[in-house]
Amino acid sequence: MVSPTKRWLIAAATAVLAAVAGCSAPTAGSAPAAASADTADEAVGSSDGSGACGSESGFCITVDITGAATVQGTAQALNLGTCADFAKGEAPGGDLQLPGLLGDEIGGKKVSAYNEIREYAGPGTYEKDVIRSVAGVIDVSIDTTPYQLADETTAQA
Amino acid sequence: MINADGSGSFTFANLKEGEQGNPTTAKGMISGSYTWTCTD
Repeated sequence: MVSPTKRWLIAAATAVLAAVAGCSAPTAGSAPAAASADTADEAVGSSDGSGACGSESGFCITVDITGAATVQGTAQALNLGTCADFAKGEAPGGDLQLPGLLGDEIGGKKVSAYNEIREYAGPGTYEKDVIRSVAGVIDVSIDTTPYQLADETTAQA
Repeated sequence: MINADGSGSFTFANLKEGEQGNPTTAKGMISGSYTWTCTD
């Protein structure tokens, strides 16, 4: 015959075991953790633009450069205003600073690209002649090597 | 291209390695793009 006290102890032990088993299910389901790891991997070396940027406000920049140097990946940049404000520009006929990369590490390389559109007149397409860095010409640097305009350069923003 | 939602792109072709690069090697060229999305 099992006493009421023993029955209570057995019930308690069973409840504890059930709770432990219940806890182990999500642990075994470490699929969410694995999914997070995948996301983190994408943030480091993504070439599809989905990795480094979260849901924070700002710009998510996807870089795809080939030739003498190859860079593919994403980086995040601040936007001090709203997206609509950025697209509108600061003032009619003023300059629009494109989302900048300032030595951001992308795909294992440090990339700088800080260019602006001169005489920006609102959303649209702009040609090479009005795209310049503060130095006066288009500038993209990879691992401290600058790449600049040549006669055969084409560019558009 | 700059879009009204703040997204855009900057594409370029044949940017040449500048003089601050290694002067003893042939100058390389790069082509590519950076595109961006904007989130408020």
